[in-house]
Amino acid sequence: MFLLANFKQLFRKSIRNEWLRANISAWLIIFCFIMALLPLNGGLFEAIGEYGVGMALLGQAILVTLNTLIVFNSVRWVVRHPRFKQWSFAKHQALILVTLIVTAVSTSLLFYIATAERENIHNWQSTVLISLYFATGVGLVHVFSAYVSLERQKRMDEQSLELSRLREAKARAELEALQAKINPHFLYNALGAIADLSLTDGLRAREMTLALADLFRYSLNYAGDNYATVEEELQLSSLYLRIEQIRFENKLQYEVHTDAEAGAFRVPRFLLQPLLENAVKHGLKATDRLTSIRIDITTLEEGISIAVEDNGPPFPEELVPRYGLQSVFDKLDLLFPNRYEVLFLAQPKAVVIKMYTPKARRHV
Amino acid sequence: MYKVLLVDDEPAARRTLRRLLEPYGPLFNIIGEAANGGEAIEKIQALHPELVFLDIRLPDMSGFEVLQQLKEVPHIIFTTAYEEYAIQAFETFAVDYLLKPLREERIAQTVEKLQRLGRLGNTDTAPDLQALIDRFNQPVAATSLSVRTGDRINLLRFDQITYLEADDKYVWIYLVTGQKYLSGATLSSLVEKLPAHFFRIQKSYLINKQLIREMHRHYNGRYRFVMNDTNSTTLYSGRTYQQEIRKEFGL
Repeated sequence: MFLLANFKQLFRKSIRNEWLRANISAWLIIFCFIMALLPLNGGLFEAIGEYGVGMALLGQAILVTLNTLIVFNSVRWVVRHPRFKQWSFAKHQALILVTLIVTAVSTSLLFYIATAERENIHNWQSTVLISLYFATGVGLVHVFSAYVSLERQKRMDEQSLELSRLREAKARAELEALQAKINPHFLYNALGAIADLSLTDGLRAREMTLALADLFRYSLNYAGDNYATVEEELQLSSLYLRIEQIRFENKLQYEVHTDAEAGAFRVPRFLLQPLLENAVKHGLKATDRLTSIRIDITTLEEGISIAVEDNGPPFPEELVPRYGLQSVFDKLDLLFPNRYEVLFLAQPKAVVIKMYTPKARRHV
Repeated sequence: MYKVLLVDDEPAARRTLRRLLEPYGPLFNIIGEAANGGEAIEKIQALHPELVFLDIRLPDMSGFEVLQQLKEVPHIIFTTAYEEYAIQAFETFAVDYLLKPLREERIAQTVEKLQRLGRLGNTDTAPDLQALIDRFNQPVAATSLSVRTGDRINLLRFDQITYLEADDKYVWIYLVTGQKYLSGATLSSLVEKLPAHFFRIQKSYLINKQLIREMHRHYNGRYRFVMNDTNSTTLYSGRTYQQEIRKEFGL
């Protein structure tokens, strides 16, 4: 095995021309085949009797060379020609079989005419017969193996199709799961704040309750729709940020900048909220100053850029995305596969998401 | 009569506590409030409260970390919206564990408990605070590798990385898409950050087992890997890695 592999490598390296390599291999195989079939070949014994072993072998070598050059190459051409490849499997294989038989028989005939005495009728028939058997046998083996590999390919295609179908179903289910999750602790905390405000500041309590109701309506009503417009996402963002602002009483401020074109752009639903939740959390970490958050949305030549900026401590050297950020990546992977970028900028500290969509598809 | 400090990042939560403790008048003497961990440590050290109502999740650190930094630890009543730490928190010296939103009936139970305990003695520092903090800060299973280029951090998801190639001082990280990123870290240090399905096939190559399209036996005990990326990259294993590869792939 080792020697064979080594030999193959050497063979491949010393003979760079692929055609030559194929022909040499074919010659060797056909030669071995004919030698193995010697007992059947009556003509050869007669030839040995007439011209001696050396000449007879030379004759066989010439026959093999002829077979290689004519039969092997015509069949190779038929097998590889792109036009025939477009044919149906049966038609293509039949053509290969016919080519093989016709060329093999005519080559042997040619060889026979050139070498043997014409009056030997028996030999003429046996030569044709042997090459016919030979060609048919080889041809059928080829057809059979081609059929087996076709079947295998078909099965593999079916499997991969099945797999992709499963994957799609899984992706859909995942997306639904991703959307439904608004951090339950956020709800507890918001309700706790409302419980307190209801005694101390009725108007604020009312405002927060309404914002919370809108937030949940948004997350429930659109659970089936994977996309949202930037405008919808921004409405949700201001609801969320307003709730946090009331919770942390004057410790949080935010601003939104967006260009007029961006509003109708379609993005994964609930893309912004996890980013904002992180921004609020990180912003509050710097306890000595007012947390300020800025959302910047700009349309690009071929897409859109969404930046969420906060003034908290810088990103750690080793960023490990937790649930929120992970869900952003997952949504983008499902809806904008290979067409997005997420950047973490240090100055100003911001997470930037760039999604690329041709202009024509933006509103689809 | 307890000297009490209230620690919570939300003003509303501190206000609620104040209001809920008010009916017990003389029992609680609220001597201060803190809105974050740093402030809490400062005030505990300066004011020596006997009882601290402590939120577990504070903006700058966890409540457990506050305790860790204290030499003398007062009695603690945890307040949090998170249920999952209750048992662990009780294993420290917590007197009680209150779930938010806070309510009157529950505070009544706390008061009862305090009265039953009588005068609070000195507390020993909890032995296993570090384990608790580690558990609290436990990073979620990483799913990506962060690579810094200039002032940007790129998060490269593990399932997007086909292979890594060590090059003199740097490591190139190749993605399924054909993009590549340069990392200043060594290959061995990256191995530790990557999940187990990243497998070394050569001294300078690490490949993602889940992104192998084909694997062929090569000669000299080497293997040829065709990767499942846009370029169908072909990689060869090192001869000395034969045993590991055979074991890894069950050959």
